[in-house]
Amino acid sequence: MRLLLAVSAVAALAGCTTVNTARIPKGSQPGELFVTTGDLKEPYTSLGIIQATRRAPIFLGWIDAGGTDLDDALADLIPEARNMGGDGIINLRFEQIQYPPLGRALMVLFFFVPLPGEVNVTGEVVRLGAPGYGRPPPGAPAGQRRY
Amino acid sequence: MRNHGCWSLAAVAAAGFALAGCGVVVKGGPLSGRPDPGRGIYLSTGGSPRPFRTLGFTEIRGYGVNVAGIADVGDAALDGTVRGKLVEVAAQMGGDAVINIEFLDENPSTPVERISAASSVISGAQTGRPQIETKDRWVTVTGEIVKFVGK
Repeated sequence: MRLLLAVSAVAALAGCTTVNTARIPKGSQPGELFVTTGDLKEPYTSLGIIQATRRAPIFLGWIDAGGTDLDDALADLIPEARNMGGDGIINLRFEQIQYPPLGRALMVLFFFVPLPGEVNVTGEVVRLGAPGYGRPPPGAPAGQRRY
Repeated sequence: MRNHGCWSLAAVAAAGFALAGCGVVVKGGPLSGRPDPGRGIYLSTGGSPRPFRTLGFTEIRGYGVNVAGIADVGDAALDGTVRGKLVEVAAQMGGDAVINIEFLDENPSTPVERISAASSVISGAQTGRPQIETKDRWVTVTGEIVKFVGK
């Protein structure tokens, strides 16, 4: 009964709005990989499209041990983009399953039912510089251009 | 006692393995750069490099099957849908480019799922009852098909 009251109080105080934010991991040096939801006006070479997906159960409403939020997905995406030789990721799109505080609070009662957690982040990895005029792609012999 | 210790270790290892294997990164081939290299249909997740007239919009849901956690058959990968079907549709509509492309690989297999599917094949073969797991795969791609105008 006390637990029910506590959960109800949390639910009433928390409201129904859910907010998730992600912070771009800071690079150690200036000029490291940039990430934007926008387009790029400068010349660039596309290195490929990329998607990071994370799926895991969320226990007791809040215990997201598998890391299914935007931060974790970005943390997966950025090293891969670096490995591809990219200078940045453009046109980033993201989608995360969100649960209102009331729903999460109820999962404390229904502790045996985990919530499905999932996040998807997509984008295009680019290297600055026009195709044919920029630096050679990673792995290409010196002096050769892709185009 | 020793047996109990082994089970605990196995449980911890399984839990760690399961948590580590929750994420997957899938990649597709390059799209067009900027300025337009002028080769075939221009593909971009962003805007158009030139003035254009919109011909229409498209949404493609590519279907494929992942077999035994190893092989993808059909349009189960990003490249097959984006650089295959999408280009085909744009060409049929008389377009020069597809812009503002958005894509989603709906259910990529995580490393854990791949290993689980592959191990079920192996264990099935050992017991004399081979069992190959298949998983439906979907890739959704949307875009705006345009025709370049002027110079």
